[in-house]
Amino acid sequence: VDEVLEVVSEKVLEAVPDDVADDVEGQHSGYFRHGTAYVTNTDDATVSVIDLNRAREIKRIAVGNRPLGVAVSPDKRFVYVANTDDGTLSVIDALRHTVVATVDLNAGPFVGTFPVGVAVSPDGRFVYVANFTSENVSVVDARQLVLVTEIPLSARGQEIRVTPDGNLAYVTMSDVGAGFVGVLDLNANLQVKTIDTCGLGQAGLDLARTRPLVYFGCTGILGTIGAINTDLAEQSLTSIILSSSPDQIAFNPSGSIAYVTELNGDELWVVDVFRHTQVLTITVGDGSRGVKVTDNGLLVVVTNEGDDSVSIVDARTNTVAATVPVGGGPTHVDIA
Amino acid sequence: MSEGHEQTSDIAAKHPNLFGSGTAYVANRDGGSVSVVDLNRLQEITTITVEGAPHTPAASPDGRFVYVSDNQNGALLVISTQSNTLVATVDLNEGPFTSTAPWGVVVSPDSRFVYVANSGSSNVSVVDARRLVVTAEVPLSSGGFAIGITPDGRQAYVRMSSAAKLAIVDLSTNLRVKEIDMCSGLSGLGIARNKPLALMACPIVAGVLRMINTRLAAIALDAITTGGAPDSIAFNPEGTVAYVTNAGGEEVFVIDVFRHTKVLEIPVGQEPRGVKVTDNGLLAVVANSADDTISVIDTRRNTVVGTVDVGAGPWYLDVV
Repeated sequence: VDEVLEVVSEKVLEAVPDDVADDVEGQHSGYFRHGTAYVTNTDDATVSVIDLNRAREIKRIAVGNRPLGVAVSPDKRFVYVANTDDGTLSVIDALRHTVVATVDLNAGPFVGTFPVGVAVSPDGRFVYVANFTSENVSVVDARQLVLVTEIPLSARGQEIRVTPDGNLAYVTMSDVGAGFVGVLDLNANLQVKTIDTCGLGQAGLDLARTRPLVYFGCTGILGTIGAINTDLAEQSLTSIILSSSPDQIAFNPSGSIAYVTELNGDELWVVDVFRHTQVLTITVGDGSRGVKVTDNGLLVVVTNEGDDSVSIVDARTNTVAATVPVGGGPTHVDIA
Repeated sequence: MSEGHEQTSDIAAKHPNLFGSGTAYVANRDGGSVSVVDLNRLQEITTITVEGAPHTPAASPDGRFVYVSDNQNGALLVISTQSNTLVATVDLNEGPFTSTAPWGVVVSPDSRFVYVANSGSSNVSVVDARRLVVTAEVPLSSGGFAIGITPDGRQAYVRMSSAAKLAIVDLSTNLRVKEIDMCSGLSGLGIARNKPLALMACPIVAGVLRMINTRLAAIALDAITTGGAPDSIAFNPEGTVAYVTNAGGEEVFVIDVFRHTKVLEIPVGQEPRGVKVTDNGLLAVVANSADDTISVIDTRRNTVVGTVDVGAGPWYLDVV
């Protein structure tokens, strides 16, 4: 029976793109396997839970003040949210959709102020929280839910990603008028490299899952994307020119396409990795910020901070399939 | 057998899990000998008298031989672990090759090559372990002291202590491929077995450890503070704990690698230099250079379970 369902669902998925924009909820009850999106509503201290199969918000969970970064554990059981104003990490049970713990990032000898980015180790044992003001990364034991150590940074931490082997993390950092990507050794929890990335503002980054690649964005007169080869921890000498300044970046599962949100705009850009070129522009909501691709690669979820909504983009037609209203000021998203 | 030995044997009997810990080879630099210590019974088995100043022993991974640099004569002493006798002496100055004041020794993972860092002649002697002759030299920009090898056998890390640099040597070409600014001071390095991680001891001015990611050959921006004068470093098999001797004192520092923090100081003998962890991970063995003993640490309790008398001036050691 499972095999039959598998075949049926494949067929349904194949059938979807032509009319997905019409009525995602009604016509495509078989449109499962996209998963669930968790969106931080930064202005009203909540997380919106969106069933991507039905394109509908199913729960709004109260978290700490001004939540920004959000990361789902690899086993998809927990969702971790950085509360910037509180210096805490909210832990959400992804089955019950309730907050099960709040980790104080300033407990004991540790300091974690204005936490922004969140990443989970591939084995799910550690949660890494990049702190902007305290210029460090808090390392949280995901079982005990306590701080175990800190990684000092050379500048203010923002977005963070862990390599699939769990040995390194890449973190965006900013200083006055300069951006960097720090390379962190996760065996000793120390920063081992600083890559000078941006002359002006540092935007987001993402790490491809199946190739040795990090993309990072730089804001400025010309918005650009730079590539880092993670085998070498070296950046490319040429940048990809965008139509304006980028905000966040998300790769598709194969790492062949990167989706980039426009800073202070309403666009989502599609970048062809092989041709290192922006190939398409999709208009989404106002103040497009957070972006993530579903594990099946079929949907791109974009948070629109300016109009309190989430755009669900069909990755095959590159059109907005649905727009879902969420809480106030959605800035980041991850998908379980 | 002295009374002291009986006491340490009693202690060993109370720690039955020490069995399987192997044998320590301790180079008595001032005594012109190598002490062979049974770590299961915490007893000296024999003393091998050699010429010159035996400095750094390194066991071959196959466990058959222990190679010891002779700091005085520019030679490499070869000890058989079966007979516990000196079976050969390799002249490191034969033919076109030169070696002055050889210091650190390391053996390739396949046991085929022995690398000897020469502190006086600014090079590394590459010894063919089968033919027992020097086959190549790695030129350095300054004298080589402590030396380590990555677990894949592809690179050697050599401390150039006077130049305050670390040389990274490509062992397929026997050429330096990178130099990293490092502290000065005659001190050691440790390379983890199953993590891309190395630690360098820096005794001057304040004692710290510097961490290197060996995959990226990149040094961490922040140092690990130890205090004292850290000398040698040995990792546990998992690479999560490092044992560091304080040659300026009488203790071994225990480093929690994940937390990049010194978590403990274990009192040992005077001016401890060499330290090695047994393959089973149960013991850390420390050479106390100023009081002619070795201290044996139980790594589960982080306490000294035995002290064994060896020859005069034991600096470095290895375990088989």
